[in-house]
Amino acid sequence: MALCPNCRVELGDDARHCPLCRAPIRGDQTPQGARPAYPEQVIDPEDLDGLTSAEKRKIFLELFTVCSAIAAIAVTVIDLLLDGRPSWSPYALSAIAMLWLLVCMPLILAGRPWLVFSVLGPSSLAFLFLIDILDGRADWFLALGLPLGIIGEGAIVACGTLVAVSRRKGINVIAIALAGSALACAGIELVLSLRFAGRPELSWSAIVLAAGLPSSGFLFYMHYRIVNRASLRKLFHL
Amino acid sequence: MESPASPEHTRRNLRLSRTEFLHGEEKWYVLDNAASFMPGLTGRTVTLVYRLSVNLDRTVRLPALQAALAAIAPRFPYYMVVLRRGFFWYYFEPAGEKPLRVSADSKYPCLNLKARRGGYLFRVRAYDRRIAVEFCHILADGSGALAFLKALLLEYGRTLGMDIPEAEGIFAPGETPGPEESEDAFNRHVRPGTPGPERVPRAFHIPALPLRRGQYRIITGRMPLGSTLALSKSHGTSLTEFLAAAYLAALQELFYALPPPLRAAQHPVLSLEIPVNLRKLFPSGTMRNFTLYVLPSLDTRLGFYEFEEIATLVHLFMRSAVRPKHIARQIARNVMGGRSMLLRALPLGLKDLAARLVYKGIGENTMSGSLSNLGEVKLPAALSFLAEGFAFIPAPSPVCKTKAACLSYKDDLYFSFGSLASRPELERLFFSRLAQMGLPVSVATNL
Repeated sequence: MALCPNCRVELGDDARHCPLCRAPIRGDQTPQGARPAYPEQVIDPEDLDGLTSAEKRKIFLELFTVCSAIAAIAVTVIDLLLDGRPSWSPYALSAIAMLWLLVCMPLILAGRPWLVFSVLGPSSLAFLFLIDILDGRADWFLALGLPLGIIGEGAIVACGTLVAVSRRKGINVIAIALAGSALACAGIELVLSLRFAGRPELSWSAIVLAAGLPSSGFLFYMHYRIVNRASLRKLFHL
Repeated sequence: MESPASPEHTRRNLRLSRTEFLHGEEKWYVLDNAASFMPGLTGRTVTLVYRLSVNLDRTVRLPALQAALAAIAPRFPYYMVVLRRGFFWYYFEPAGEKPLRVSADSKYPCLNLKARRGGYLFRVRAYDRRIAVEFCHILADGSGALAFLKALLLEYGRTLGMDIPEAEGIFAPGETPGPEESEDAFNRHVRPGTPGPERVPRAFHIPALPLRRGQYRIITGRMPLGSTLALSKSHGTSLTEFLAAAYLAALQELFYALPPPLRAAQHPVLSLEIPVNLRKLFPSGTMRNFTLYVLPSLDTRLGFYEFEEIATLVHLFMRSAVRPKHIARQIARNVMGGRSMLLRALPLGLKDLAARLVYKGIGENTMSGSLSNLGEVKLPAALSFLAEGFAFIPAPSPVCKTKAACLSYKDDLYFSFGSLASRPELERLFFSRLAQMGLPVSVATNL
């Protein structure tokens, strides 16, 4: 008779996993060592009775997809009824499609952040391009949408990477976000000034940089030199 | 001699003690008086869940246990329920087709039973040679849980192919539950006009750092019953009184071991809550709650107490407190309070709030610890071969931090501490005192 290695109870001969703890059962498996008075594992039976994270994700994806499809059909029909042809609905449909990607891709590709970015990064730029050309003219994407999109995405990727590689996360996360935002602001102003003034200028973003970078530096100093073991959870617990 | 209650009161009590009602063809249940305020007290740590377990002479066979559970559960329809919120009160509804499965055991028992989330209020867990039932106090007290465990054990033995005859006092599948099994015995035995109990002072609480959230330390000591009874007798006490005296002595030692400034900031009264099974004082066959408590205490302002003195004080206190007239005062306070129109008209949210305040004031604030003795577990001979030992684990208490529960079976006494304190100081003081008195104590823990 099969024995669960965790629960140490006898199972049916055809058991392939323990119905109590869901541990897989192999024929050659027998619990080793002394019999502890209590199991080593911490189990909340109600968690085992509930849906797994993957099942919850699947249900949410299905619901969100159905809702998005209903919204897409509704805007298309309303637009056709009002104007007799697609006028504003392509904008709404593009936005719904982009929203679907933003919400669902992190769930579909859970645990693979680089893959998520490799889908969402180009998709976001493509969305901007689509919005630009829907009126029949391409007048702002190359000059504004593309560089601003790249700056935004670059800032997010750079900050995310730095946070991911930092071994101890605490105030340094705020510092990275602050520095990233300040640099992104400078980039945004450079692009805008090139487009509208014809030359690179730093005015309001210089103030942001002057405030943000020293603050970020101070937070880095606090994290790595003073607080050492600070964590966001401890500092901002409610 | 007690004066008889008027026929009108008796009729009203009988009517109000009924908890089972019909809505169309579906049953629903009112909570008993003790349980009616409990749901509002429950939370992540305050689960109000205690455990009774039996250690077998062989490894648990899960398919047989599952089959036994499926066979015996319908015999206890008043446990096959889920908690629902009404506008004024909580109530129970039959769980219907909700599956009742044996659960895996955990390193930390008695936690994570979310009473207010529509699940069963009890569960059966299996590990190695142990079958455990964990009951939320909203559903039943220790006597009810023990009856369920015995019935489950008997059915499990039969499912394994053992020849076990019907045994008196152990429920079997197919029987029809008696109406008294789901009665609210508090409402049946209340005597209107009885004065409430006197107020008791706030008690000392162990100023220990808590364990990490989600942890619960269990230490179970096993000692020979005969020697412990003989020792109790030599001190002129019953077993419960002797254990309570040892518990109070350990609390006193802990109190005096505190640094003087910290000690001065504590409440000076050391009180021990001892639940009393009221079925022994008032006739009732209820399987719901029918337990109240008495509070022997030591006032440290009067000086240090030697063990002999504590044993005498506890003995005298218990003799006077565990009497129907004394307990009737608590019943009157609780039941008549619940019957007041003002309280009944409060919406449930406000009742929950009031329950927390009342429980704090007359409950947890007045006790330094708790010792629940379920008494002797008796099994028919054919079944006692299967069961090697039992254990009774108290529900976690963040305020008292450490509580104790015990029972005896065959020749052994099983005494378990359940604690949310980071260090097992009280347990060490208690068991080392018993060991110093010559009792061989073997201890097992989960942490």
